[in-house]
Amino acid sequence: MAEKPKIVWEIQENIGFVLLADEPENKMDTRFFRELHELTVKTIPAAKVTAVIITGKGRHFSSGADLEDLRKTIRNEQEEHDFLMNNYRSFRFFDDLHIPVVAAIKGVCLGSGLELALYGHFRLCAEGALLGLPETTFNLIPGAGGVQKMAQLAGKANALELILRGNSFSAEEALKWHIVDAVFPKKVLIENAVQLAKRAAEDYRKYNKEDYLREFTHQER
Amino acid sequence: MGKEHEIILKREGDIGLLTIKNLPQNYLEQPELIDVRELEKFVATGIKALIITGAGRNFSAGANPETIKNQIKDKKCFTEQLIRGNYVLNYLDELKIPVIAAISGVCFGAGLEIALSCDIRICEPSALFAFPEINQGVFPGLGGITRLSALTCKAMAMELVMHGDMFNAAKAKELGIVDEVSGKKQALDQARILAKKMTENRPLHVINAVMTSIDNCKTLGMEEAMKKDAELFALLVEESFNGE
Repeated sequence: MAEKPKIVWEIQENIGFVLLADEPENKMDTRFFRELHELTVKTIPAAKVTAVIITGKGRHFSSGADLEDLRKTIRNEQEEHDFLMNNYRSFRFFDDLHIPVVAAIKGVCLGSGLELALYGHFRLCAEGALLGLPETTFNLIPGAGGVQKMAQLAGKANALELILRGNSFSAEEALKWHIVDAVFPKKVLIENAVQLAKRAAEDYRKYNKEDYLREFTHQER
Repeated sequence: MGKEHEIILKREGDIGLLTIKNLPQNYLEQPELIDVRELEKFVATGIKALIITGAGRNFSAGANPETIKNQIKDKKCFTEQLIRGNYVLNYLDELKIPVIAAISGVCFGAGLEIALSCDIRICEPSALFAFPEINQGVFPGLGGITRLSALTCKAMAMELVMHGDMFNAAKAKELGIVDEVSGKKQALDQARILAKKMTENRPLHVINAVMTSIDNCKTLGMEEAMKKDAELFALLVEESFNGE
């Protein structure tokens, strides 16, 4: 019997859904990263979609990398290095896509989970979500571009504080620090993500993030 | 020889405190904030964060215009001093521990340049900022223009430097020149709390790694910065494995 996939790829109304599917926490282990790699080099480039939404199945986005699994699988520094660069490229793929990519954040969104979300062009967040980069509390650093992305979005001072403290923060705080673009009640998160994805896909060539958000958040609030 | 400003270095646990003292305005009597070797020695004691502040009510009103008048007579000597002054601020900028400026009262000219070379700036609501150099026909000589442009934008840097006008804490926050406005007389305490939150329970090598990574994104493209991050990460994993 085939193993249950760690990521489900679904297409609905021309929108591609990347669903992190290792419920409940949607942890990212080595198999997850292998599947993500496949998705980014084969499946998505060949798919006829006009936008991508990244989110988690169930209650959470993702609790991040499965350190136990990574410790078992990765044997030396070179492997670790290659593994990280591969993961970074898989994440970066979404940033480089020429169609809108919306991350719909809910529940816990920590570590590599948050890093993945940071590569979306838009980040919508559900009320009650818990975000954070806790890597330094394990004596590590965010390894897939989280430091850079965070510094760009939140500014150096905020980035330093939240990375070095490693504490989690709320959707509202994330909004204040420009880490997410808008916050919605949890039950309307996905419908808003779909609406935004469609809207942005309609005239992608005129793509201007600020314009969309202004129009979109105004319309919804 | 003219008078000198005093720099007080003090350790509070794992946190270093650098106080500029030349009361009341904490004028800098020479472009060199501190002998860089003295600062290096202080950092090498293993501090995990550095707070820079002014003694008394003010951060620093910048270079003493009276002293400059005399110093400028020996152009070569003054240029050398400026270069050394620049070196100190670059050293602070590139330090691999968080450097926080706790700003109260006036923060002008070279004082503001020192604050801009820090990673984080916290000021009190009554703090005042300015680059008044233009009024004397000079410009910020310690990298202030470059750092200000990076922090805001070229147009804003030009405006602030060419106007030489004063601006308050609220304006500084709005422009992103300070990261946080504290409560009244709270800047130093808030800096202490922040430094503690960021560094307690964090080994120095992890702090160094985060600082390196965050500085890399300024100097390298994303791809190159990521390669460096992967190297750093791999090293940290190795250490954490070995630690078990």
